[in-house]
Amino acid sequence: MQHQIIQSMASKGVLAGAMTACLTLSMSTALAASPFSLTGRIKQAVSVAYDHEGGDDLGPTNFLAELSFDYKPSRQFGIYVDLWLRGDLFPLHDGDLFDRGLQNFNSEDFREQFKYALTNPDDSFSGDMPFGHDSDNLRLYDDWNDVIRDVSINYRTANRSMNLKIGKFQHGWGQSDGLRLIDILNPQDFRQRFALEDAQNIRIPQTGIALGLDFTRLGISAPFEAIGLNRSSMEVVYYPQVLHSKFVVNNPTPSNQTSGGTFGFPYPELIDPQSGRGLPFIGVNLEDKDHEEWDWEQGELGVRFGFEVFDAVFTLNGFYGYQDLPLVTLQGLNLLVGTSYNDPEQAIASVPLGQEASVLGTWGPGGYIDQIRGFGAVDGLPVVGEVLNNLTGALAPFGCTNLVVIEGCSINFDLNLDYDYRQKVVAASMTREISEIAFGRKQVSPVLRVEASYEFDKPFNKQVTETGYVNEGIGSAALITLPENAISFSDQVGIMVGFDFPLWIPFWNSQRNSIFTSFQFFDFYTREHENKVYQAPYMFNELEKHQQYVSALWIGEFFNEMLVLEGLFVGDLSNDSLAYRQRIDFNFFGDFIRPRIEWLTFDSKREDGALGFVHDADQVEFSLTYQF
Amino acid sequence: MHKKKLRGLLVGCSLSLLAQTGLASPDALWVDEWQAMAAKTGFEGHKKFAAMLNDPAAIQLTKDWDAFRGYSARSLVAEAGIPEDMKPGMVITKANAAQYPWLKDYLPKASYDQLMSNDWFKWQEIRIVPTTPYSMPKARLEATKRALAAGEKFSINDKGELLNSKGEFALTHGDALPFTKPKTGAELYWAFLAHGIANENLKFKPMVLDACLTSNKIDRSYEMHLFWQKMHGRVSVPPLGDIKNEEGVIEAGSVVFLQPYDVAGLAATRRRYAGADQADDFRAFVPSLRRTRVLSGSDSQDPMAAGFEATWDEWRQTWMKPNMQDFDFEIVGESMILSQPEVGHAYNPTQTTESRCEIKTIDLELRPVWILEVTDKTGNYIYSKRRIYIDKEFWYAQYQEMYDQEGNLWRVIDDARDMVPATGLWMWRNYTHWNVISKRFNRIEMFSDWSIIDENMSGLFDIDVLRDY
Repeated sequence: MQHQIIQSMASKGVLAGAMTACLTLSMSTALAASPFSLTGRIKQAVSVAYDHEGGDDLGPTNFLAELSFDYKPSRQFGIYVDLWLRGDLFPLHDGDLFDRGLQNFNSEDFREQFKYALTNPDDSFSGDMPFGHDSDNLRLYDDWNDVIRDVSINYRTANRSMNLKIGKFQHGWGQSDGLRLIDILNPQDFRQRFALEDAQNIRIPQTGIALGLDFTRLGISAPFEAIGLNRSSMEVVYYPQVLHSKFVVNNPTPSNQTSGGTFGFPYPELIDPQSGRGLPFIGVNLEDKDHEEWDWEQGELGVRFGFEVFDAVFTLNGFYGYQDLPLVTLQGLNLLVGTSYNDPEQAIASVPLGQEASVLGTWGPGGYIDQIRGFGAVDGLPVVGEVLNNLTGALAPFGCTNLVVIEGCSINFDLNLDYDYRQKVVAASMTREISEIAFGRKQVSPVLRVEASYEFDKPFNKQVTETGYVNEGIGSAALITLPENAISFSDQVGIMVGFDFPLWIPFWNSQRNSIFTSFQFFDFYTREHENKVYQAPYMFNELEKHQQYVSALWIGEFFNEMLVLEGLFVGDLSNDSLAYRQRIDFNFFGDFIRPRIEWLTFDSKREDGALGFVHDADQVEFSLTYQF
Repeated sequence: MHKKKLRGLLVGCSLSLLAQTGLASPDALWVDEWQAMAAKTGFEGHKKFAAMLNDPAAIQLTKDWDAFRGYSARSLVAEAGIPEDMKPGMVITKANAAQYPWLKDYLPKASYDQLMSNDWFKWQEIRIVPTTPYSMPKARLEATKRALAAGEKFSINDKGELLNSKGEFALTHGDALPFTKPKTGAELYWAFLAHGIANENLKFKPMVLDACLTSNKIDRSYEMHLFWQKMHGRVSVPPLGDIKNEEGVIEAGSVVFLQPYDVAGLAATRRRYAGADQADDFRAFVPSLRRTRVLSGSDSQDPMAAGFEATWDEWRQTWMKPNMQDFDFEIVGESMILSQPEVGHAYNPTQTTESRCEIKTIDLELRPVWILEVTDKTGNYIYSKRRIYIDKEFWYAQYQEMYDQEGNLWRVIDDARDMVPATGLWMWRNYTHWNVISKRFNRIEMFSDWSIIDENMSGLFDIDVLRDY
């Protein structure tokens, strides 16, 4: 069986991982009962995406080979290594999945979007699907930051009063599941499963140092005990390596094409809200503007003070780091002469313009927006792209007027995905079994989890921007403004209240084990929420004063825990959207084989709230894991 | 002073020589019986345990406890009169069981059924070993004597809490064993709970569990490290007295899973409070979250992990809190029972077949027991009844049967301890735990790490420490 699986993996392109595992199998036996430990897994999944733009088709086909190695020569010292090699075989499938792309200049009022093929690399520049990508960026995540999940050295004093960890690792804090208030030390990787993956699998490890101090065992807890705080402790985590969250936008712009497959974030619908028309001929090059990856002095710092009082566990947390998700700012544009399809390779000339010229051409008098708003106003007829394309040009303000002669113009704006903004958070958490209340068939007490955070000066993209001209920047084009006009700040308060409860079903006397249930309510209150978007470049995604979410998790184990059902519901109350994940684990095959069926479904509007990023990523996945 | 030392040295030397020659004290016949049996079976484990018993310190400790109790297991067995053909070293199999009509009188039916089984969890042979005196530490004996001499009167209040004469929780404010001559079921249950681990520090490195299917194949195998510590009334293992910052806590335990892969890194800590109203402090480090979580300590009826027959309430046979409102505790009889001997320091008395899901040889020993029935009055507990066979020599369970709410026998435990005869300090060697309804067997083997006696256990019950175990 093992060999069959390894052969199967190898034939599907994970030979390296499989060989590693094979090697590991033989080594794990040899290393038994020694300070060495070697474990790992190989996972291959295949899914059907059944709600995507292109209809039903093969969905993500993720694979993962993991190798974990520990060496603990003494009680005080340990070395940990965890390596991943993962990717997606989905790009190999010549499927029909597509997403929406640039505004279709042939459509009525340019409101429709061209299609964007997610597995087809051909750019035909004709028809309704002129763009395509082969998603090869999903094929293999072999960047060392993806491969190395943990390489750390751990030292602990003999009485366990101090723990020091140095290396690349992830560190989890807080009491919330899913949405993060305190658990923000590490960024997240949304590329393969958005946020609907186990927390440890989507945290992005960073290189740094973590120091844990137990004040009681250090003998310095007296001042805290004097005021009633027991079991006091402190953790300090410093990451000089600054990374940000990872996601892929399904960007059809030929000079910056990327595809994240079904979990790729949508290319934004570009609309002028005043005229209600789309913004044709506009593409976007997205460029990460990171804080420098290694910053020994201005890295990310987290501090946590923990204590116990009233039978509850409390933490006070502080984080001084960087935003994990980007702000979007203007860098400039490239005017492409000779192509209506935003492809520099087809252009006879590419004219770069700076920020101010870009803003002038977009918002200035008679500029691009004025042109869009003015078309068809004379005779009241609907504007048709062909007319626009051949007879005149919205791009005239950028100096492209003779479209008939040169077969069109188009513009690629260069936008920064700017992660170089500080994140400043103070937070607190409390968790306690409410033993004063016991209910249910077994008279069990629920566990209360509470978390609160206060983020200072959280930056947001403005929904309406100053342009310096009569026209205000609104709608999708509001991003086309000088960076100093694009961002505003507000403090944000986050609160989570959650309950965990082991459920024993009434009258089911032979119930072997409880069903774990967990409920959470989140409220993110932004003090000055006006004129802010939830997440640029999705400019119609207005930031609510209160963004509220609920989640419910249940895990039931049946047939001697061999059949495990796990359901997770997430509701975005502010956007009337929801997601549900159902896992079914068939642990009937011993310790080594772990088959799983996972169903994901979303009911959300495109670009609307967090779930709007993956509104059509519904899928049913089957996976097989070999672990050792 | 010098004379005393010299005399002590001479006594020590002569005892040592005695031990080396293999000659037991004339009134330590169990040593002779073990040596004779070891010679008969040729089994190295028997020989090793015989040598441990032949330690003068072990013999003296036995005598001290016998004097305190006023009886020993051997004296009770002798008084009871046992069949003449029940001899140490004898082997009973399915084929010859019918020759011993008395077998059903001493071997619990659940065990007998496995000997007779044709399919799941078969026992190939039972080997009878001598009834052996087992002792607890000398310091615990002295503490108990001191308390009795001081007129200490233990009591159990309406909540089921064990109190001393001052009204304090007895196990956090004292070091004596309560109710060594129990009169009621509740007293016997508290005597059993006070036995605790019969040690003050405990470590299994590792503890391995095989969860077996009805087909006698392993469903899951786990490897864990487990720690336990008695927090107060410590008399044998430093630090003596109290562990700091553990006020109100009787004891604490922790477990870290090492295998298989999908649970590796899972860690849990559990603190048991003396107060009936205070639920266990139960925390876990969940690898899939990489975070610690507080769990419901009031929920102790879930299996400890997937495939486990043991719930948290089956740690140490039963760790159920003695809630007098919800349960009746009644001594329903006294008996002799064949169950596993406490020979784990020398060998594992349960030798399994290659599949690890059937027993090749199990050593059993005749033990005098109280039969305690704990009956659920609510109809909501996982078991309607526990029948616990508690050893009259050291107040720990020899055997246990658990019944479902329909009154059917559900689970059975027969465990074996790892006792050091010379010191009376105990850990465990195996848990033989089977489910007669789903026909599944859990084989748990513990490898006691005695270095824990000298180790500072501080931090081992802190989930944040175990996170980076």
